[in-house]
Amino acid sequence: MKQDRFKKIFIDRKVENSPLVSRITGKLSSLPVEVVDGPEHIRQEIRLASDSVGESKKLLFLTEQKSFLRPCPCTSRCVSCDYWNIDLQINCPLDCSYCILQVYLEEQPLIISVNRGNLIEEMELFFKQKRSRVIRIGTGELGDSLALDDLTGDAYFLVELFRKQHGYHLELKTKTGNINSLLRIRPEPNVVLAWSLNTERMVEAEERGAASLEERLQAAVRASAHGYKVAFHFDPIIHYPGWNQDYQQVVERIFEIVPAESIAWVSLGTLRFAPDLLKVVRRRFPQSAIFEHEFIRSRDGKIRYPRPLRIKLYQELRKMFSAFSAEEKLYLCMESIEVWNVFSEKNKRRRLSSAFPFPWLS
Amino acid sequence: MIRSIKEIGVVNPVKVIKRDGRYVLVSGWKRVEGAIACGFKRLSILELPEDFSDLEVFTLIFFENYAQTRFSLAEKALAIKKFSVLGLSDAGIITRILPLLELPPARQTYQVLLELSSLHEALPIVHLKDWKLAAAELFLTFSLDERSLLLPLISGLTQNKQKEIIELFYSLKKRQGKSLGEIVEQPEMAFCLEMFRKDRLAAAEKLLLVLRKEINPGISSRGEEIDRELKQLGLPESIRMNYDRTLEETSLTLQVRIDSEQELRKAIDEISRSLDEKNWSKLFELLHNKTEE
Repeated sequence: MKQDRFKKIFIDRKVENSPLVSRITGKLSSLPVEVVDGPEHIRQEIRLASDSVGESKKLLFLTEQKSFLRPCPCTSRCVSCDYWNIDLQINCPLDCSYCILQVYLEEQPLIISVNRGNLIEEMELFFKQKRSRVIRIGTGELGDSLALDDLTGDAYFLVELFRKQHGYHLELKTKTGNINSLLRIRPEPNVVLAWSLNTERMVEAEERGAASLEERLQAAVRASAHGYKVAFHFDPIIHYPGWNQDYQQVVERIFEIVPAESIAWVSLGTLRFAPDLLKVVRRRFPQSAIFEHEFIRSRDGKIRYPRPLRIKLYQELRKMFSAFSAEEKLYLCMESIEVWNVFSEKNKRRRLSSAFPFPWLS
Repeated sequence: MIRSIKEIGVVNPVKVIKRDGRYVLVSGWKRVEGAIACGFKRLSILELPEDFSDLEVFTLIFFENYAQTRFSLAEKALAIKKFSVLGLSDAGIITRILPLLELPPARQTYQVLLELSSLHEALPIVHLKDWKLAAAELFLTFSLDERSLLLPLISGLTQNKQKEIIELFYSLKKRQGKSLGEIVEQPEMAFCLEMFRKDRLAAAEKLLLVLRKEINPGISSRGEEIDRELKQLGLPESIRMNYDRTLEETSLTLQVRIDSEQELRKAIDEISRSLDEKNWSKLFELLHNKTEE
């Protein structure tokens, strides 16, 4: 990840003396630095920019936050996968056309919370609680887990935090190939490195600033060779002329170079977004064609492909994975029970309470 | 206002300022008109300091009206343009004025409003139908020629229908990679346009149907199939089968209008007879998407 894409660092006065602040400013020594008493001044700069979303990704704000851990809200009337999120960063330096953060994080700079001590305390309490099932925890919901790792050293920090915490799986989800720090440390069976994947055509057209598909897969190969479990997220699956062959190529390439036994899970999720995103993408990505498709407004208020098409996409992807006897590793992200019932024979009895039925992780 | 002036006179003085040796009325035009209508020869004024800049005068008028009036998007656009012409900085407009107008304080909003303020042909429609910012922004993505084509089609419709037509044409343009001119030449569209000469509202309804079908071909055709299946069940009007038009849900809702036990028995008999005599399975196959599995 090129660090010259940032324009300025703002430091919250409360964390001015934090060691992580020194580390980050040291690594970005050519950037102007301003100490501020809160984010309002930064928001002002973002508002005045002609592309406020783009600008928000260029302004770093180093601050602190009270709490880091929260359950993934999933979305209403969809089957949850009991996921948890750690928000170390809010906002993402990558610029994908379909990214919902463009709407959720209006006027927010790229925030890095540096009070790692608080996270340690919070996690220690969390680990002490008895759990009846495997818990997955990730950092990739409000940003890319590894895009800023050169600056923050988060990956190393988190792996150490999760070491020996059996039953708690840490997932670091990325669209980069930035795993060097992870290759310098001993892997743990409960640490999973995950890549969001799409077809090469979609990566090039819609995922500005992200690594190419091959770079991501090569990173997965290196991670797996080092001993990590890896995971893949086909999300968003995008329907366009030629989608079938293109996704087929991606799946075949995975099994060509990544050992199947190192794959922990694969999620599938079709393109979906809050209606407000349309305004933003029409302005910011006028060349993108993926938003001019047949959609419906689903029960959770999001815009999605119609159910028959979603089912078709999932079934085709399942077939592709079945060819490598890997369909058992699949689960759906934010999907309705109606779609689950068709997707997975096991759910015909309608007893599905979680979208994460992977017993081998227990 | 006239009744009030007749009763108590013009209590709130109108505001004037001296410019080039003459008094210029800056605020209170309606009060002046009311006073004239009531036969008043004199009314109280408040003279603003002569060194007030035009920007200061406009700011004063703006805030005076702001408290009393709800501005339409067109009026907001004109106010923003005026602030800009009078020299208020971009930052000042974006951070101070836009929030007061309940608009997102962002440069993009400012740019859209400036552009909108110069569309003299469209401004009356934007004002009358109280357009929202998103509709205006989308409208501005059309070329000048396309806007001229679009405006007569949407004028007179409700705000929601105007927005929907703009939105649907926008999507169609992108999907087909054609200009609006080329799209409306397609047979079904051309037919709608022809209808506009005779009955504007009916033509607009027809146009919306055609556009919706174009944009949502899968849902539309599946909906038509389901409707056909429902019709062949031969149920009376008092028994209605409703389904989720987005096809997210797989179930039907049965709605029966009854006024007595006897009517209920009759309705149950009708449903039973239909179940025995008609084919219901295809209906559920369509709802469950089994026809494509």
